[in-house]
Amino acid sequence: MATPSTQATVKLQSNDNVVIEVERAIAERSVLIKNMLEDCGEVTDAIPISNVNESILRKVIEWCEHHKNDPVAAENENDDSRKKTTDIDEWDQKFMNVDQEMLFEIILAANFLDIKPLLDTGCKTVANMIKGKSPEEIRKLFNIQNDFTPEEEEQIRRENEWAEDR
Amino acid sequence: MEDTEELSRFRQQWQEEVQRRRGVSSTDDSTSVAKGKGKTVRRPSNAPRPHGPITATTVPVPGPSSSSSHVAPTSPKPVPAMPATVAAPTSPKPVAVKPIVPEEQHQEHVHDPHVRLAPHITRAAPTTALQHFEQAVEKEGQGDLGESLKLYRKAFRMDDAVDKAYREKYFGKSWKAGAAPVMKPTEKGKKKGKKGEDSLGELVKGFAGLKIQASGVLPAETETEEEVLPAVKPSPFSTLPQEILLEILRHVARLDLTTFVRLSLVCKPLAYLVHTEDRIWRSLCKKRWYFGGMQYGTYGCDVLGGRYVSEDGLEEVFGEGRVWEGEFGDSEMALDEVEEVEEGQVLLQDEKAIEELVPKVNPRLVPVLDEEEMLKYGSWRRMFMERPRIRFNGIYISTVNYTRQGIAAGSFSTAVHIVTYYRYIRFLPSGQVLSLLTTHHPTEIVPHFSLIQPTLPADVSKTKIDPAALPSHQAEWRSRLMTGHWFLYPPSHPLFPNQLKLELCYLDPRRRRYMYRMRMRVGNVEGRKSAKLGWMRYWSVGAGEGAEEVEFGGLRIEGDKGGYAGGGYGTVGAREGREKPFFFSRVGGVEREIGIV
Repeated sequence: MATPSTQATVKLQSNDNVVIEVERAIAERSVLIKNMLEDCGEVTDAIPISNVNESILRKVIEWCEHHKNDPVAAENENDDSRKKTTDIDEWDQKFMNVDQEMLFEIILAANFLDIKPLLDTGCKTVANMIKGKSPEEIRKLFNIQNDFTPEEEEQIRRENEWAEDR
Repeated sequence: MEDTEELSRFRQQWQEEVQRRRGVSSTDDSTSVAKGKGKTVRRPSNAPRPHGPITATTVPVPGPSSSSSHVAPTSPKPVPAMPATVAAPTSPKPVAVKPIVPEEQHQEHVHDPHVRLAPHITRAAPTTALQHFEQAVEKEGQGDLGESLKLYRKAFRMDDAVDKAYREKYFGKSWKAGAAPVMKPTEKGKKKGKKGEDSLGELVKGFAGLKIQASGVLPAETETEEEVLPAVKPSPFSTLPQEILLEILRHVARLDLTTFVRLSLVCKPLAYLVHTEDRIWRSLCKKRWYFGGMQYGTYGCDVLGGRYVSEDGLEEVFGEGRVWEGEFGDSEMALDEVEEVEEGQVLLQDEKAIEELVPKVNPRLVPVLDEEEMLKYGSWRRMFMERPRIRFNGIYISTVNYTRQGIAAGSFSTAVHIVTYYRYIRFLPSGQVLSLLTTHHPTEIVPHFSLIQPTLPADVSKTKIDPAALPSHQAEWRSRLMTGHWFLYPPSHPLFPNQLKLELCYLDPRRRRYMYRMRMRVGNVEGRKSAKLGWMRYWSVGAGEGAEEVEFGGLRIEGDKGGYAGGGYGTVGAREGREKPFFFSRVGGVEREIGIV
């Protein structure tokens, strides 16, 4: 009926059936929700976020609140500007300082809700965890099975020796 | 070519011999070993033979004769038919071995320790320069340096290019192959190079579609029910969608190449991604400190590190350094053309081709497109690994040791000075280069060398580092600091593909009387990519009109054997005959400075 701005808040429902009301501007950090609202106009019912539980949803909303005033990068230049910054700002670092399980759930939620900057921050955090570690340490860190035979491992090691020197 | 002639001659001889021996000996490994090399190396040593009676009586001392190489010397000589008397080691028949075949012999001293130590009284006196040289090498191998030196001297007196003849004779093949732009230094590396790559490619292909397994779950029993077991926590990586995993890998690659490549050793699915995700490799190639930072064909800045400013985008307004450079021949481009053409005459041996070359586009200025280059290597990943590049994240160091005879101190002893000096080169993606020649050890130089302001003002007194504040030895080496610029010849260049060109002068204006030019070849060393710079040419140009151009000795040599060529004149405090290749060392300070870490 009216312009989208008339609607001040939206309700989001986690997969464990908790409804959280948030400012529309904050919810619209999620491209998924933004598109949905644009397509459907006024939405009074709670929007089911089927893949995300309450604690993660709250966490994601917390992030969106803090970043609600960030300029929204245009789709195209988005890629470039994102690539240039490898640093994570301090607030985000603290925000991401959670256990591994939650970190990955935040990443998955960001992916589902299509919040690129959050997804990015999450991936960077994981990359930072990996950086400088040995293959064995990485396996341990992420509980990954070594599925190589010793011969295969040796062959790959030889091929990639050069990279230790860059 | 001589090589192929030799090869076919040898093949023929070998075949004849095999024919003769057929039925007598079933296997003849020693001959087949030498087959591919274009020369025979027969080693009927007195080592225990696998079978057949040892008839020591007819086998003489395992002197030089026991390892004879039937390569015709470079000077034409009658080549006697291969004596059937040379014993094949497996031959069960007693075969007489001629003790001396002096004209056609060469000691393969490297291979057989017995031979090395054997006396060679039986050897005839050498007559040609090459023979002198060969004996000298032999003596050197035995540790008889005095005798060896005498022989070397004689050899060089008879023919000052004898070392080339020697190289041509014994290392002809590898030497030429080594001149190729992309080279594999070790035989080991060469072998695994192509073959290993293919089988590895196959191996990695087999990893496609595999899932990341949580440890504790053996692949054999990964039925879905098993994963419910509370003890086994699934790996978070196994739950991630592929595109997110790739995004993480992309960030790892951006942060640290080494860790990114290391991920291929974690598990098969990650190995697959690291090896096949060429988009990541593409973005790595494009980085400023990899191929994105290569200067091709033209200098990126003037010799003092100043920018070439362009007002209308077409014409250069010369910076201070550029004006000064003008003193060394007005048109750098033209000079280079001459140089290229001069060398072209040597290399192309075809004046017409050269004439055609000149009026056309300067081959140096052919633009280099990464995309085009990539096609030559097959993938961005392979290109990243194999295409020659200059490395910015550290310092290239060349270490030279030599001994100098001192003045006799009394009648009993003569002092011998062992001198070590180092050349340091640091490249910057801006196109500038810093260089230093000093006797100071890397531990003294490297930490400071890496912190020097990349762009230096023309006047040494205006640099940000106050020489007075430096410890005395640093002040000393700072005055010897050279600045310059560099570029790589494009890969398509007909004469020097992917070679490096450097121009250097002293930073201190009072010392700026010469411009030093170097051309070097970028090579790999034992699995380290582009970690070596081998000298190709080194010369200097004096300032002013009609200034002489000084070619530093016989340095027109192939990079690998850097410092091998003899004869030269002392210059720049160094004797080019001794120059050794540069080897790259990563330096943490440099990496931090350019933001690579």
